[in-house]
Amino acid sequence: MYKKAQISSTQLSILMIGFILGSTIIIVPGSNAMQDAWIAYLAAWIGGFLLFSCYYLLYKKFPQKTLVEINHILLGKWLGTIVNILYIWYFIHLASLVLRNFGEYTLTVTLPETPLWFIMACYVFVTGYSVRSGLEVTARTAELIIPFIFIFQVGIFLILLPYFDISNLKPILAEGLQPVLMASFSVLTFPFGETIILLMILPYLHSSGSVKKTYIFSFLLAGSILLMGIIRDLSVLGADEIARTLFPPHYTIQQIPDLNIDALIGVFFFISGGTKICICYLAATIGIAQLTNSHDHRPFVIPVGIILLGLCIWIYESAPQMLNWAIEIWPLYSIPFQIVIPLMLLIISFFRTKNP
Amino acid sequence: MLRRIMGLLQYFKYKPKRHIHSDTSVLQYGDAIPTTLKELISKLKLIMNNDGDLVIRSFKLSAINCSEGILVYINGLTDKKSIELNVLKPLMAEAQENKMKYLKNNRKVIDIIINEIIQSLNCSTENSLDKIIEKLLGGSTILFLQDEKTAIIIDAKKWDTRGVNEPDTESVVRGPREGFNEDLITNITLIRRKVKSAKLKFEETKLGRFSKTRIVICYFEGIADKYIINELKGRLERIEIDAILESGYIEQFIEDHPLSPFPTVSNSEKPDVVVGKLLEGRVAVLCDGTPFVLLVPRVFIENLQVSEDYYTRPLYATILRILRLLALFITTTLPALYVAVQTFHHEIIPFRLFIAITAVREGIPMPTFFEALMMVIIFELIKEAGLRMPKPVGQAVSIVGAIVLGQATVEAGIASPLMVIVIALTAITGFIVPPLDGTVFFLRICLLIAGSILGFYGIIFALVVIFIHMCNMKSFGVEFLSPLAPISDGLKDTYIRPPLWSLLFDNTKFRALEDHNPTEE
Repeated sequence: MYKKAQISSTQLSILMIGFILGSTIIIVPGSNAMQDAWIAYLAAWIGGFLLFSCYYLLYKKFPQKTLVEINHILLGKWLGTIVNILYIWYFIHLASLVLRNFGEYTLTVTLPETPLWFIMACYVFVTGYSVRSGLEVTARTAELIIPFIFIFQVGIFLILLPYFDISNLKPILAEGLQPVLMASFSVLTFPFGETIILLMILPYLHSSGSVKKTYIFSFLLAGSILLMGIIRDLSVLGADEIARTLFPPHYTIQQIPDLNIDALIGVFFFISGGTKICICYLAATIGIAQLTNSHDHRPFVIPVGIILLGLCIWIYESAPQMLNWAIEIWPLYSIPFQIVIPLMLLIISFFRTKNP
Repeated sequence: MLRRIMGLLQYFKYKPKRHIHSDTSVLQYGDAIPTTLKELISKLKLIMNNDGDLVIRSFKLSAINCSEGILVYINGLTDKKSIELNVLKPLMAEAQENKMKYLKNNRKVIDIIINEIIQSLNCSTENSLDKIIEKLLGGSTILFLQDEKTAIIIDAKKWDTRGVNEPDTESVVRGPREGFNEDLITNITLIRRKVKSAKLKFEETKLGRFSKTRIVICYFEGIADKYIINELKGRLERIEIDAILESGYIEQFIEDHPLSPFPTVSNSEKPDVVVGKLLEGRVAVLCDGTPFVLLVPRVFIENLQVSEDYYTRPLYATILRILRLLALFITTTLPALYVAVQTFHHEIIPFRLFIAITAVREGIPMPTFFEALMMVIIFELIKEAGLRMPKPVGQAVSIVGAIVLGQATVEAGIASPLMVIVIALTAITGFIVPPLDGTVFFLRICLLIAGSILGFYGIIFALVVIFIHMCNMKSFGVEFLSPLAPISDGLKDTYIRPPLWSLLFDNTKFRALEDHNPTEE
């Protein structure tokens, strides 16, 4: 059965880093809070830790079970199945959002005349191939290519250092705490809360690996890369300009004189976003396989891929609508999946273990 | 339709049993040896179709003074001098004592001949005519006696072989210059001479229904993984073929991914390379009749490593390794990158260079993609022509290549000078990674097409697909990208070449996975 696939803790942490970076590296998380985006981000980071520990506790209760199986055990057959179907929908939805994100980025920035569906179909093909090959292969591929993102981000940060204008970060908390908190909630649900999906993958960790260490390490590393990105964009561009651009990091990198490497950021976005899509896609197919008591996730790869492709084309009208949705509606939409259901599961599991 | 195609692919993956000549009767001559020499001679002549190179020498066995015998051998495969001196001469010489012994003790003639008369190193007896014929064709000399159902096989072979020369495929600046030749025994000797250890095992089998080619599996006991050895033996056993003319035949039967552009079995012509890889835990397959020795498992990083890396000083070797990686990257992606930049990403070129490029490209009618494709193919054609040509004509090819590729195309306005530079760089770097020669061309074309369709995105799509494909691959249970992904202990000796004392001959580099069963429940 699929369960036999095993990944090492290095691979898991690299997958996690790729997942958290995901599509976040082409936007500025928390940009609603204007110049306080970094404060919003820090708050979200801390909140992310709390959510993380909640998911981790859930994992500790059932170390050999995926989220779908946990739902099944804790909520019973009927309710569990309904919640599982919702979760699988959530995974597919998230994957298609990231996919559309990438498609819009490519369309806006580099290839304005290429039809959207073509780029997306290529992307779905690549990720589908990776998912079909299984978790191990996905993890190995990530291991090969994710480190380049890290090098790239640090490199860009260093090149842009002379152009930093720290006064862009001021004034701090000029409009009070409320907008910052609102923004930070959106950041909490955008990259950090989505890690609930990793509960589908954690059971495949090799027994020698320690989940806690891997979690904390990758969370810190990915978080600091993102923080670096926010500070870079804020101090180079300023909050107003960020609010006016669709994809601020792309615009930031264009500020480097005599060096036009903005095409490369799309390539790196493809890598990190691809990892995120692969994980969502994998989680969805594994979830369906477990829901249907199937031994193999591979038969579901092509159907889910077709759904993904259709969904991501149909889901938005345009890029601004997409960004607006990601910032305004996504947090609310995610509350049950990222916060309510996991907390409920945790509480139920405490009762269950007390009275077996 | 899809099912059919999948079925075809499955066919390639798991070769079903196919019996070409399932009846082996062609090769059977009846087991028993005819008792009278006359019958025997006529039968032998019948079997061998009265061939001119079959020599039958009848003589009288004066040594035991009892009967007649014949010596049979194939002309040209036998060491005639040795047979004359050590077999024929003692047999025909008068020797009273032996005769007496025979009479007194009632011992068998065969025993006496082997133990006391023949002075040859390698003697054995054989009853079955089939096997005798096989040995005869293999170069042994056979001694038949009147009224005996057993024949004596004298193993005194001699034929002309090429000397131990420096191989053309793997020339080195520093390191031993000897290479294998076509003779199996010489090749084994070359390996044995490098390592004087009883742990070095040679196991012989025969392959090929007609050719009966001798195949030797060679490995270090205790270092090589048992799983790999058994898997290799199993795969060799399943080979059904008429003749093995080169180890390439074996390679195609035992490789894991016949349809992949990446080879999963490596080969070498040099004993020091083979011994080095044996010490790393690999298994070698030596095949009679070819200097190329197969080595399994093969992992990707081996393509970037050369035996010379370990003979030169670590710093220099490390730089060379990184350069080789760069060369591999350039040779596969440079035409694609050029096309992508020209077609989609003008902004990435510095402005002045862009103006220069545009000025140069002005008169060229074709899109960059076709220009690049054409030049890549022309280069490959010239390379192939240079390989197959007799040496004196080779010069003509290089002149034509230089003028056609270098000057005329540019002057005629078919290709831009920049494209010529790109192709030249691609070609030169292609020679730096010779083990991946065929692969690189395939990847180059794939990336070129991808790059011309979607620019950088196309290239990265194609590269990631190639990465996933490589991650999927296994060679004899070992992941193809082994020390790189999944990251494992061998990582130390990949991109860099650490000093030898820090490597400490880490022999456990290639252990196949614990979990070998491809069928999971």
